[in-house]
Amino acid sequence: MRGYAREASVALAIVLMMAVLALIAPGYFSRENLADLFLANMPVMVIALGMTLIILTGQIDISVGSVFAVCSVVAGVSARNGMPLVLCGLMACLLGTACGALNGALVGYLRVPSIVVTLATMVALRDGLRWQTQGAWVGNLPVNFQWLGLGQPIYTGLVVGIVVALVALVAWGLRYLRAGRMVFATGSNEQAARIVGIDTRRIVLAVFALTGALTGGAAMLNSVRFNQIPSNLGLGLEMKVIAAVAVGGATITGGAATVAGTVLGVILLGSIGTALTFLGVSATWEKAIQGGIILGAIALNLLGERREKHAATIEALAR
Amino acid sequence: MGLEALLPKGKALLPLLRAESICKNFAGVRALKSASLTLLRGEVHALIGENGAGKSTLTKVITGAISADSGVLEIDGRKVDDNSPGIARELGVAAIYQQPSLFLHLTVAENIALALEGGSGGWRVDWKARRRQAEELIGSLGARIDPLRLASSLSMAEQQIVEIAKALGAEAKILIMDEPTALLSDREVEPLFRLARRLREDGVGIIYISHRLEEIAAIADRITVMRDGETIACQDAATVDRAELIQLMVGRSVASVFPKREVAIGEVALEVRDLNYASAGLQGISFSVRSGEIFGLAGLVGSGRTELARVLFGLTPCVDGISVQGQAVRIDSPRDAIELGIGYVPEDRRQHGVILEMGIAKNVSLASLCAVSRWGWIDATKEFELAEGYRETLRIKAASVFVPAGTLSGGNQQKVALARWLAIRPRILILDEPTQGVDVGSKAEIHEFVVQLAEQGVAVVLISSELPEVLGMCDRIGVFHAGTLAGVLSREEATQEKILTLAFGHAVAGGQAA
Repeated sequence: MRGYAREASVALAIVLMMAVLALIAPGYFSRENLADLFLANMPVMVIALGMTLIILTGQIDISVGSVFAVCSVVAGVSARNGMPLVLCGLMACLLGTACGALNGALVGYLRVPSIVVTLATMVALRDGLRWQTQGAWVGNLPVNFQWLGLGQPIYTGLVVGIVVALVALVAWGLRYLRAGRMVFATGSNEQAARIVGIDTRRIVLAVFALTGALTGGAAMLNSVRFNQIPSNLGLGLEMKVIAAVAVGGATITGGAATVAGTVLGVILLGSIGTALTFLGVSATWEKAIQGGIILGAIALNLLGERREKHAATIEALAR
Repeated sequence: MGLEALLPKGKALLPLLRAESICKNFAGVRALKSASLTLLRGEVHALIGENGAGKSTLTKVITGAISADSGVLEIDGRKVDDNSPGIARELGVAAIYQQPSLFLHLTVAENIALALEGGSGGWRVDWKARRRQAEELIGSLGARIDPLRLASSLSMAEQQIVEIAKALGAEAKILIMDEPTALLSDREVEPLFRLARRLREDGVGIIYISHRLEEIAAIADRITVMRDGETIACQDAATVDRAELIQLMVGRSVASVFPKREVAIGEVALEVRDLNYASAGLQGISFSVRSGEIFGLAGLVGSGRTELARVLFGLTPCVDGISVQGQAVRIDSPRDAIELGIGYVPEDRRQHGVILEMGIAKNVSLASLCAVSRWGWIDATKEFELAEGYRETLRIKAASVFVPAGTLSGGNQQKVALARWLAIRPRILILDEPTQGVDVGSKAEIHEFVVQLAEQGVAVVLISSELPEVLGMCDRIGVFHAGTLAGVLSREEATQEKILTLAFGHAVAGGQAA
């Protein structure tokens, strides 16, 4: 079993970055900047929780960006048509769940590779939305839509509370719930999991559906911040999410990932862009540096896996 | 050929291959103790022995896939000290296996070309030459396969022929055929034999491994028998009969003592009546196991024992024919089986058994999560106590129950797998090769636990390829042959010879027909 070396190294990277920032650009730690940063990265954080579960089962979901956009637009349109805010939120969550469940059913029961399934839903949802909205943004939102959004200090506090609760819930569930144990077993060794009576298909369906629900929730929380909802929301969101989970030490082949790692991954990748700006590095370099960090993280992971596999082969040969 | 006639006679008779006193240890397990084999030019040399006798290990030493710890290996009169797949190929060693290893999406010609050119083909593909080459090679085997067909469109037998063409193209002098007919139908075997005879006439030496004794009688010139990693005998095929061969394969004294005790036999716990399952290759299987009884399933690898276990455990669900405790049941999933009180310790521990990354405690509780949790919430204390209890009773050697199962020895991993199924308090326990790759000490302990389980009234189905284990542990023994139960022997009447005779598909006098 891997220790917490990966989490520690990501944490160390964050600390180093913060130290440099504290010395050179203490403005980074202003209340407004931190709040902005947090809110901007909130969707990534929430969705990454679900993605951690999906990657734990050895699957992947690249449709979350499109699902995010669809849920945001649908929530906005419903609000404009006079639906109460709570119902809008619920609807976004349900819609997300439905999209996730569709992905999960195709992957779990029909055994279509998840990359294919979610690539298809990613494109279908994104282009369906473009066709439906003709690229128009959702404006004319009712005043009450932003009752806790725009400029309300309580909003930040509320979102912090929700995110912290969700993180704690998923971490706790993975550790102490029977379902959490089944997710680990499915990802570590599907054959063995099946033999102990775990319905691995249902587990796969469940993690996709849960990720969909989280995506819908994040979409709702995010859209109340603005007075318009762009229909091209969430472009590239899936990559940010997957990168954060991968940097956090998750094994893409399944069976190994921690919520703590994912949180650290989101913090590192989410803050590095602004940090570079504060440090005066040209914005053109931002993406390149991010890519470098992701590559480094994945290479580290693969090296570790290979070492494990090597040991396993030697042992298998010895039988 | 002409050249050989000019050589002095002694030179021509020089063996193609001489392996002598080959030893090989795998992490303390002796796979080969002292294996010897001499292969002459132009002979078909059969290599036989029980599962695990060391046949495959010996051929791997010859092909250079693994290196021997000690012993002498001479190929074509040249002493080979540091054999490797490359060296062996250069010296003319080629092998074909049970499962052909063609690239299914490429054509026959491309498959052959890839084998021959390796990485050295030049930058331009000469399609015509490739095709010609394939045609010539296959033609020289007396077969006719269009070189432009995709490998995936070929039958198993045709694929084997292409494999042989690959070997020939590499100018093999020594051809190892490891159970080449295992996946072929009887009709497909004959062309393969014709081919083998043709190669023999051309002076190729063939090492032929098979479990089918009829085949060996039909094709072999000489027969080497292996047992427990040693070469027991090398006989002229013409002078040896089947009974003698079986005797040679098994004739060992039972080395270990088994803890089998008399147990009061109870009600019928598991009954299988006329179970047919074509896609798993099972046909007309009937038997019953009573509680307290240990029912052995013997037979060759692939004869249907594991397939039956998977059916009984709902991994390949079967419509009907199974009853548990007198009630006809449908077992559609492992969940169903577990609810009926059936436990299953699968054959391949690393692949299907323990989850290596997980700790012992998590592994132990995995099949009985409901018992250690309430409202879906796992009670860590209960889980710990459960695992700790089994760690003590099964004497699992580990620093704590939180150690990942992957770090344990094979024997201790197997005990963890066993503990997982004991935790569901099974009424029926299916054990598939429970002591394979397990050290002697743990093996004896596992035997003892199995007997204790029987004493507690569990009906045990014990699948094992190790005849002494089956003979020493079981009350009755069912012997599989080609997907059917060839016979059921009682503890008193069972002998190694009788089991093997049934396993090789012959009737046994006195054995009760199943």
